[in-house]
Amino acid sequence: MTVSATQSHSGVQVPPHHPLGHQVTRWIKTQLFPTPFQSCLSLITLVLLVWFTPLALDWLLFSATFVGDSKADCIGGGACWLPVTQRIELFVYGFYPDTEIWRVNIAFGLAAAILPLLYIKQIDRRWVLGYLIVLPFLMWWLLKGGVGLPEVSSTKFAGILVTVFLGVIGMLFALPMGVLLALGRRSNKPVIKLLSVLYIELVRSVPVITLLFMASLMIQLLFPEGMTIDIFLRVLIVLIMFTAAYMAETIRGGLQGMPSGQYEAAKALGFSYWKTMGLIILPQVLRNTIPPLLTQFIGLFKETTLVVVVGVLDVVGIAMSTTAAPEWLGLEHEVYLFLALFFFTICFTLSRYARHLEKQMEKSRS
Amino acid sequence: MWTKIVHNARVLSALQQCIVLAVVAVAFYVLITNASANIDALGIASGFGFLQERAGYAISFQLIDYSPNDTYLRAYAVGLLNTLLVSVLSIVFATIIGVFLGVCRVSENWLLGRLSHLAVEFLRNVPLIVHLIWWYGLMLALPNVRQAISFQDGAFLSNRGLTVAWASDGSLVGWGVVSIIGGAVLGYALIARYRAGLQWKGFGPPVWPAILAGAVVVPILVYLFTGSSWQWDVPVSRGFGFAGGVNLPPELLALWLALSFYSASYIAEIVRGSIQSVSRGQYEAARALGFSEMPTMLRLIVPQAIYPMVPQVTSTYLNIIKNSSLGVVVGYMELVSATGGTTLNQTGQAIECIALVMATYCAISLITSLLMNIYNYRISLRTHS
Repeated sequence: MTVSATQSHSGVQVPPHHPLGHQVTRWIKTQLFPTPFQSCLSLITLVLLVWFTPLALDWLLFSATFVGDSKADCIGGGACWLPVTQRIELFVYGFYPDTEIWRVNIAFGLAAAILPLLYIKQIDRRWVLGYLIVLPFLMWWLLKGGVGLPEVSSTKFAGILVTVFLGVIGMLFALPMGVLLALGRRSNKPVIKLLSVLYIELVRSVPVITLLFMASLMIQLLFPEGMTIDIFLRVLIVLIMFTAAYMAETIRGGLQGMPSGQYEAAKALGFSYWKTMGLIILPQVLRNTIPPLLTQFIGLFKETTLVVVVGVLDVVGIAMSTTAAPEWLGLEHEVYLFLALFFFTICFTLSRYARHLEKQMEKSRS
Repeated sequence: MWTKIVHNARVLSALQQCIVLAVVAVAFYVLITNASANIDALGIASGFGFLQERAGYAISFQLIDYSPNDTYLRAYAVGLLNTLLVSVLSIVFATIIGVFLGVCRVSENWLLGRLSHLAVEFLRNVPLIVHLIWWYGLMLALPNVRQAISFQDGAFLSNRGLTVAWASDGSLVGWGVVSIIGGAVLGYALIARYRAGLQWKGFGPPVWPAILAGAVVVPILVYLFTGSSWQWDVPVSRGFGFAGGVNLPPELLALWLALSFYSASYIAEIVRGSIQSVSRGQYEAARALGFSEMPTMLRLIVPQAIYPMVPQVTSTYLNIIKNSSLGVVVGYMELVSATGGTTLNQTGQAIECIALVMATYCAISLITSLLMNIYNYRISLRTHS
């Protein structure tokens, strides 16, 4: 304040203050109509927007039917959201017993609590880490039952429950495995390095679907007779193995970005390999790689939808069975749009959040 | 003495590696013995001998002749070609849409930038399988064959897919490919000759427009001179289907469009990132030298942005090839649904079938990364010498 005052007194020109209306017209002129070509583009897009937006809104909301019992109630001419609203319980909880639904809600809440934990700086990182380690076991216990809770068969799992469960648990188990693989790949022991490289490159070069086929058709052949593993668990293991390979590459990037001074300082202090990694390198690497790891989580979250191929009913499976049900035939646009919006909301929010964290880190570094 | 040996770092390291190796070997041994015991118990054959047996299942869309009487090996080849076909089609389409969206995203036009940002975010944050089942639903909701949408009576779009006119003897593809490659080689030869004659080495016109022009002009010329003698096989509506022409089934179209739009969002982000990674000073220098907007982009920014783009775009292309395995969801007979699905179910030889499919994908990735590395090596020679 004082600086600008002194400058204006000493004769330096201060930019003139424009009224708001002038600013708006100037913005429109520079951003939308700078050249004839750009003006044409802007006009065409504006016309399309003005024509399309009311139509879309009308179909989506104003003429749409939200309340009713069957397809016959959809008379507004807009979207018929009844297959979603009527079946919302099925979409969210699958076939989970009605009396136990509170367990699913708690599990969702616990999973969602990760984000604020990552955000709030005041919490000791060790508590966050502890929470992340306990969480998958806690979720598993809540959903599957066992000690103290009535057991629920995993054939009852379906819908968003499966998607969230596979995504969160898969991610949290893949993280330690990814760290080990990344360390293995950078190890100076040839055998360990070779094994890690082989694993990472092999998994990364094949489609997830072949791995899922392996889980559903091949794994039974590899275990002794009579030993059967739940398909749900097999799919989860495949997702973990698959994500770990990709994660290893992300973490390797973080390890390569560490200045060598950190390693040298640790060596000078007489730290062993595991102490150097566990106390000095990995805490920094993991903190720096939170944004790419979140992006990886978005990827995993989208990949979980592939489990429908081997017969696990996730939210996509429920949607497909809804559109195939005779009473909701012909309403696939509404159902698939709901599905798309569901994934878009979650993945977009997470990607914005990752971007935000990244920007914060850049700021704190510079 | 003993403790001295054990505490030697190199001995310790060797010991650790031996233990890891032993654990992995034992795990493999246990799995393999289990597998062979199970296979014997179930009475499943082993080995790849089944590839020579009769497949016995039909494939609705194929690039090479195939009938249920052919072998499993031929069915595998049909599946592989179908995978490659949908991948190539999607790569072309995804690149076009992706570059368009990416350029819109960095455009100075605020409205266009926002809109394409929204489109990119929507496309990439929705799982591919949702794109796919949606497009497939749209394809099946098209009018039936009798009311097919006609394009100049040469192509028909119906719920049976897209049926287009085709040269009747099937030589169209062969000659087309030959003339495109021949044109590209001709273009390269001409421009190389011209550049070699220049006084200042390395300062001639760029090479790729000449290659592109050759690849476009020569096929058109060939068509203009020989087109009249071609027999066009025009599709004709016959009750429930079309007679004549070539038919792209709805499964292929849905997979093609879904893959293209989904991957286009990734390509758009790569294009945007690379263009923005060119330093601000380059724009300012161009402006200072009096370059206007278009030449700045074409002659200065794009050539610099294209090199960091190449590895990322390659990995997106590889993802397209891998993601084409989603054909299994809609029943498009590509590698995974043919060999990993039907063949596996019929023979029960899960290990061999899945190994074959995985090995094929590994080979495709390896070849691509090899080409990529060669390209990178050449680029680094050019930029750092």
